[in-house]
Amino acid sequence: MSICSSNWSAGFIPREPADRHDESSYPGIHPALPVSGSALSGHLDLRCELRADGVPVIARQSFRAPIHLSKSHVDEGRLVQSIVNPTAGFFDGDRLEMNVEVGGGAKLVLSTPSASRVYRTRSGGSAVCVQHFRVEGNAMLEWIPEPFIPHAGASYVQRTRIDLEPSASLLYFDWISPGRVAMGEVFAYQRLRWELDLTLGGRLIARERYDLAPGNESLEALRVKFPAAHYLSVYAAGGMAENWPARELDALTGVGVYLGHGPLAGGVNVIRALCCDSLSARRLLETIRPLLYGAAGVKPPSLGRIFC
Amino acid sequence: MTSDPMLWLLQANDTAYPSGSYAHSFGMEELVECGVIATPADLEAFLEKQILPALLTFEIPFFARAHAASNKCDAAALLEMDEELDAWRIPHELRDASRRIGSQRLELLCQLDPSPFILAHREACPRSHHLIVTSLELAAVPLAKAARAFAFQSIAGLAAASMKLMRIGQTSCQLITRRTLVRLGEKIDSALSEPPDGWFNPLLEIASLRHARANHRLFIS
Repeated sequence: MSICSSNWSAGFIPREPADRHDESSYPGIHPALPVSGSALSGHLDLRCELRADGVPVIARQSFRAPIHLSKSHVDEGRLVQSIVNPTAGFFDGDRLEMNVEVGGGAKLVLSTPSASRVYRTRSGGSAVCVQHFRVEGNAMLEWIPEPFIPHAGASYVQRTRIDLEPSASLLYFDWISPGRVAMGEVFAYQRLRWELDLTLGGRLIARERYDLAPGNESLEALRVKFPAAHYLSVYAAGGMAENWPARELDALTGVGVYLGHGPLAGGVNVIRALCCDSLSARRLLETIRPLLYGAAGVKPPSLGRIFC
Repeated sequence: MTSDPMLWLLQANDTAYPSGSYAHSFGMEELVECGVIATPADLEAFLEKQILPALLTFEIPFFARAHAASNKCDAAALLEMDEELDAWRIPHELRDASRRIGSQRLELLCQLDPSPFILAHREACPRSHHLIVTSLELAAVPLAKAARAFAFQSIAGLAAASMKLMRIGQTSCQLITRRTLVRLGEKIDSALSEPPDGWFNPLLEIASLRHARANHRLFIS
C-alpha cells in the first residue's frame, strides 16, 4: 500500500500504475476469485486519507471487474472519485464486495457516472453487492450513485454497512427506480433484497431489511402513491445534518413528489421520498444535494458529470 | 395479578386499559390527509397490504423473541432488543409513540404486578418500547396467544383511529377489523417461528415523518 503523496498538482491526484488494481499485489487481502461461467467476482478496496498538506488522497486502492475506478479530482476540498462498472451492469452470479474507508479528517465523494443496472437472471440466482463504508473522526463521505435500474426478471441483493465515528459526517443517497419504464418494464424485476445498517460510534442507528417482489404486497407502498414510483433515500450525519434545512425540505413535496424527513438518534437525519417518474426524482436529487451542502456552509463539489 | 393468565390477557387488552394508544394513528392521519386512505375499501387495503405484512414479517417474529427473553428473565436481551427497535423505526414519531405507549403500560404494570424483574426493567429502561413491555405483560400467556393479543392491539388501534379520521361507521369498521383478523389468523402461527425481517413501507414512513411536522393534527402520531 502506498500513499499518493508526491507530484501532486492542483486538481489532479496521481494514480498508481495501471496494474495497481491486480489483487495479486495484495496477498491475503482479496484472494483471487476465479471467473466461473459468465459470473464475475470483483471487489473495490479503497481508502482515502488526508495528506500532510491538507489534500485528500487515495491512500489505498484495489479493484477488480465488474468494477473500475476512473480518475479522481479534488473539488471544494473533497476528493471526488467515480466508480465505473465496465460491464454495464450486474448479471446473476456476479458478486461485488466494496470496502471504503475515509481516514481522519479526509473528505471523499463517491459517485457513478451512469445508472447501475441488473439484468434478467438466467439461472434464477441473484447478483450480490456487499458494501462497507467506514468514516473516521472528522472525516466525511458522500455516496451519490446514479439510479439503480433493475431490468425485468432481475434478481439482486445489496447489503450495506456504514460505520461512522462520532465526529464523522455522511451524505448517503439511494435511488431505486421501478425499472426500464420506457420499455414498459415497471416493477417487472424478480426480486430485490435491500439491507442496510448504519452505526454511529458503534451504536446501531438505522436498520433496513426488505425484499421487493412484484408477486406480493411488498410494492404496495410504492404503487399506491405513484404507479411507477421512484424511491429516494438520504442519510445525513455530522456536519451535513447540522443546520438542517427543514422548511426548505418541507417545501419540496408537491405534484409528483411526496417527501418526509426527520431525525434519527445521534444527530443523524433521514429523508425519504417517492417521485412519480425519473425526471421528478432527478430534479429532487439536484435540489436536495445543494440544499444540504448549502446548509452545511459548503459548496457542493462537482461530480464531473452532466448531472449534479 | 390474577393467577389466570387468560383473564389477565383480557384485562390488559381491554380498550379501558389506559395505554394511551387511543391518541395515536401511527402515520395514518397523514395518509388520510393526503388522500391515500379515503374510503373504507382503502382502509381495508391499507390494513391488508401494508400493516399485516409488516406485522407478520417483523413485529410478530420480533415479539416472539422478546416474549422468550421475558420468560427467561433475560434483562440484557430485552434491553438490547429495545435499543434495536429504535434502529428499525426510522420515523421519530413512530419511535416516540411506541415508547410513550410502552412507558405508560410499564408504569401501570409496575403497579399491578410489581415483580422484581419488572421493577428492575423499569429502572433500567423506563421508556421501553410498546412491544417489549407487552412481552413482559404477557410473559405468562402462551406465545401463540400473546402474539395474537399484540397484533390485535395494532390492528384495533388503527381501526379505532380511522373512525375519527374518515367517514366510516362502527359496523363497517368492525367488519374490516374482522376480515383483517381472519387474514392475520391464517398466517400468524408460521410467523412465530420466522426470524424477524423488515418490511418496505416508505409511504408510511414518509407519512409519519410529515405528520411530525404538520401544522394541525388530531393525533400525537
